[in-house]
Amino acid sequence: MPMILLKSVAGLFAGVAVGALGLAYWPQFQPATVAARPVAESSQRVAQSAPPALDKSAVDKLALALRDVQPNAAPAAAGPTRGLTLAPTNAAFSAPSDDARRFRAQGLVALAGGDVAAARAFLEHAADAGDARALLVLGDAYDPATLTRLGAIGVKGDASRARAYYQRASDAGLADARQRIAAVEVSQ
Amino acid sequence: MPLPERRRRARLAAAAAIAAVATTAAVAQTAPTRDAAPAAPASAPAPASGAGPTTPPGMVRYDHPVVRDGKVILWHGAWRDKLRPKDREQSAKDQAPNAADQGQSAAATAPPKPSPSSFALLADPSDACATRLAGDFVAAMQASGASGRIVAGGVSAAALGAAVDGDSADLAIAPLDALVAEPQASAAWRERAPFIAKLGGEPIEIIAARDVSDLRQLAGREVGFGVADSAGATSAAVLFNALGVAPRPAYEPLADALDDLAAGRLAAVVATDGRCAPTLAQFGADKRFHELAVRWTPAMRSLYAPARLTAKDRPNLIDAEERLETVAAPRALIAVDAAPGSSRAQSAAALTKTFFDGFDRLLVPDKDDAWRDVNLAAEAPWPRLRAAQAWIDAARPALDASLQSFRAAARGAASADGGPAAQDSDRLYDSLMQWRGAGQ
Repeated sequence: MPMILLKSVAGLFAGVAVGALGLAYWPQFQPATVAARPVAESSQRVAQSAPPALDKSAVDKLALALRDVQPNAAPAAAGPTRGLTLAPTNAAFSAPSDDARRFRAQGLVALAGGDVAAARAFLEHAADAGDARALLVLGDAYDPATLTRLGAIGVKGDASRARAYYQRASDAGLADARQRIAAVEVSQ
Repeated sequence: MPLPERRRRARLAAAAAIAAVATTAAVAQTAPTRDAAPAAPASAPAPASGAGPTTPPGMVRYDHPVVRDGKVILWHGAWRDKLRPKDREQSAKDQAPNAADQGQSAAATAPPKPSPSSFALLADPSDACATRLAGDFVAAMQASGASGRIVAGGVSAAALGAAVDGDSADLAIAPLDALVAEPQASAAWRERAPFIAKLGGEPIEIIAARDVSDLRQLAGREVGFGVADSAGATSAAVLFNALGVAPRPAYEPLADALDDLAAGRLAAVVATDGRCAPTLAQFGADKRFHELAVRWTPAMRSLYAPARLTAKDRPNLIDAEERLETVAAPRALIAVDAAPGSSRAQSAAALTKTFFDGFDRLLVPDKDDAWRDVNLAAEAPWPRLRAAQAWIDAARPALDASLQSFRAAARGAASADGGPAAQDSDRLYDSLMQWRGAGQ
């Protein structure tokens, strides 16, 4: 009899514990709650819209615009960037710095391994540091047709963004970019 | 701290206290002889079947005790709606002793048919982004016909190791940096926790008072790393190790750490899930604090990618028109205890197929944006579940010779001492151009 009473008490405690834990974690693991995002957080992801149109004739304007690879990000010229050395405004694209080339190499390695998001991040840094070739590869990293050929599954390309990067690469003097622009326009 | 957060934590604390009392009572009842015969569980043979006469139907009995702090805390496994394949195999063996006598395993003659109908996904409750991704994942899988639940628990290498040994989950969302950097993770252990898909990276944010302008100023000072043994704490430790800076870690939840930072008790706070943490979004309105730049270095290769934050992300902590450089730590979807050839690997394969086949369900507006950056075929410095690789190989076009050449060149550059160098950039670029040209 005492054993039965003891078991009953233990069972009662266990039931209370399960109920209390369920109540405590309820808001955290309810799918609807988990999926909900405050409006304030929506801007914390990289924007997916197309970059603004560029002045095609002025390379120095292009160099300035390179600092604004994120379409919705504040232009670098208007404020400081902490942690990254940017190229001078009139950077010579034909001679990127070692830092820029290292970022481009990392971006190419990431792209080859299918880590498209990391590739884009590395290449944006390379472009920021004055590497025009990084712009062309950035176009590839957003080009839906290129991603398909690379064997990417799931991640979506952005043809308009790819075209914008190809255009920047073309303006910087990379002849291969013009073919890419034509191909993207045909696919759109 | 916001009042609702305090209330939630109070409820958690109360629940934990109640659970501790109840668990003690339950253990006293379910394993009364363990203390009397401590050696018995470790050497006890596995039960013949998970549905034996003393085991209720649907409950899987562990074939080993689960011990924590020297005490047996569980003797029966978690409830499942179906027996796990290992137990089905054992049951089949029991029912076909003649076949076993003839040297034919029951598993070979009657291979289990793993069902993706139910699963448990382990996620760190202190990692708001992982929790959000887990919620999305479970919802998408349910829409595909597989019911699942989230199991709250640690996902550091040590905690994941316990999950592997303890059969407490089928899948886990874990930080790749913590796993890759874990020196104790042997090759065999890695094979038991293969990754299914590499998930997106989350920027690591380090918040400090404005008189701290450089990470090196944190050396020897107390910095909030997050909850002890959490994914965030492990990532913070890995990051500071890569940076060559040695602060004194303080382990507490992000909200408490921010309170301590505001009170001057901490020099800085590390947030690895800041994008999903409302607490951080509200912090710093008095402009006394800011975020520190974390410059990517070659020492971080294969672990972190660069990331960038602006005032739009953190209006209280990043000055207007400033761009802050930091790094992002990738996460991965891991299969728990799914060594190649094991029956659990077959179950994981079925779950993987359901996940991959229905992946587009995660690319809709009500799911986290991070899913849109996920390339299911992305590689990682970690073993991949073979069934996942087989699904990918079947789903994507055959790799032509020039693409294989580009990939080989990239792998060669990545494996060099120090990773890809500046001089590799043009060679890799030319290789990519050659492949692109071949496809024109």
